[in-house]
Amino acid sequence: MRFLRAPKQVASVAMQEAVIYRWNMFLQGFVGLVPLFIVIMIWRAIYTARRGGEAIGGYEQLEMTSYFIYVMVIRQFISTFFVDFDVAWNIRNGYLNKYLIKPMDYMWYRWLYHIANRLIFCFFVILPMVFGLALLHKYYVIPQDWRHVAVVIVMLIPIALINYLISFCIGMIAFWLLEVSSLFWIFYSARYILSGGMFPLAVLPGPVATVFGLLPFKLTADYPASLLLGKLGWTQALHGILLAIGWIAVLALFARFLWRRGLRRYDAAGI
Amino acid sequence: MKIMAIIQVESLTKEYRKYIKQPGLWNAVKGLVYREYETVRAVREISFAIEEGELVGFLGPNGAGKTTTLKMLSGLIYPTSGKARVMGFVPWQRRNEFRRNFGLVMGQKNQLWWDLPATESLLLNKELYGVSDRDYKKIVGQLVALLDIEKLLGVTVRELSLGERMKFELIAALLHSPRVVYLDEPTIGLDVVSQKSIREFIQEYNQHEGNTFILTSHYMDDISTLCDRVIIINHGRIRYDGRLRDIVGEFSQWKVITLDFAEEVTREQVDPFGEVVAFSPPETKLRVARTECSRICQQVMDTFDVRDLTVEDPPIEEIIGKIFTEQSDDAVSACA
Repeated sequence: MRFLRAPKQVASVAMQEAVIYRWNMFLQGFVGLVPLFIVIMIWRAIYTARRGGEAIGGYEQLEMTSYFIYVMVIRQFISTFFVDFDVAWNIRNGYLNKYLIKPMDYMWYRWLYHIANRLIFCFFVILPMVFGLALLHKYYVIPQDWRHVAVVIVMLIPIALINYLISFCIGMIAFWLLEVSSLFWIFYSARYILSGGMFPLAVLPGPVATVFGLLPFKLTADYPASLLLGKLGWTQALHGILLAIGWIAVLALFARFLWRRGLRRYDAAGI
Repeated sequence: MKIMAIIQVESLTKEYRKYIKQPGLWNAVKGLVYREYETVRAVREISFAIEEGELVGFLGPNGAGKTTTLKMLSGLIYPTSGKARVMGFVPWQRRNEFRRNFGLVMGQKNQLWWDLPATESLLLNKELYGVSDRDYKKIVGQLVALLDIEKLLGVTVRELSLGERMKFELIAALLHSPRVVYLDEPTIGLDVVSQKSIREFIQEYNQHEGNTFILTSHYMDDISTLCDRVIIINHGRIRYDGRLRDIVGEFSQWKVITLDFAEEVTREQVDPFGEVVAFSPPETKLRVARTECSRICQQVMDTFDVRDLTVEDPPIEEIIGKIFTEQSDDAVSACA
């Protein structure tokens, strides 16, 4: 399989580089538990304050905390944190040169690199995650239907790809603007809210939820988490799959478009 | 029909629009609403052709346009206007067939994977360029031996010295046996020994493999050892394109006459004959216009008792230095 040799070596390089940062990953796993713990406490307080402890947006208290724990677990697999910064950095400092001169496609190279890197990350984050899940065992339920779990597992790669393509596009802003990091944080917050990372989209008023539901962001948090909770019927599950396929196509084309445009402005800073 | 040169450049021009920021906070605020730009013409209408197997030196001071030219010929940036063909390809279309056949070493940019041993970067290049296992072993074996870095293959790139790293950069760029190789300041920041060994390597490689090299450098030694032909660029224009040796005739309007007088001579006496560059009797050096040289020699011989007289061209470095310090012949255009 000659054509697989280049991807194999890219993955090998990515994994070897990732292993160098294993301690960082390991610690990141623990540090990531802190905000999760806070979120759970806040929602417990909200439910307690609404005296009856009645459901919010159709979510009982235990469902709500489960939701955030699911989102956290899924995020470990699909997060593309840093991809945007890395792309922007390469553009701004001319490090793109080394990729542009080679017979390869940077966008897909970076995706492959990311996936291989993530795989190693997930390996080193398993222990902190198991620790976290044990610690928080009172606040979540195990998904009831194995078929939901199967769908989510199958969807992890497409969801990660959507997340990646969004991050890649955001990173390419560096072709046009010099200093972009604060802009990136704004995008992070927006994506966090739009994806359902802050609250399940079901708590939003109908029309807003409909609009959010058409965007690609919910596929990265709300969709898999509410599927695992059994909140979605099979039609909605299928809807999510189709939405993912559609957005992958749209985002990949859009990324290509930005890439072509951006390279016309690229100044290959300081060879 | 003329055989097409491997690199053909016609009226290639690159302009940048640069925002002029005046110093200070108030000006930064003003810059938010009203911006002044200037057009920087990094490369202006340059044309040249390079034949297969040539090793051509690009010479020029910082900011002359050498690197910008190389960036265009590598397809990293688009030109503002003009044409270029490298191996028949338009570089900035970045066709894979084009990219598979050229190599680039950037003296100031690391192309190796920083946290891993150099071998990993070489292996990655091997697979990206589709180099066979046999060729890989042969080429790396040869080059590593030639550069004397066999023992360093397993060392993490970040732990290599600049010179050692540059040697691996060279191997990485040559691994796929490119027909055209651009070396952008491959010896920058290196000590004399490393400079020499890299120079010798390039020379040997070019003679052996017969591929085409463009080398930029501001070290005269690099160019004078390696290149028969130089292209001198300054202010984005080609000032000279030809053999290094022939530069003198083309650029120097001066000759230096060294006189050894057999009699007492005062400075005032020699002054009228030319510019006195050195006066340490009995020896005196005069700088005179090239066209006047023989007439002045005659006059001096008639006027004084001269024991010896030699006429020399100024050294190449001095002439090139002159070309480097020439002022730009037109002012940059500013527009709002």
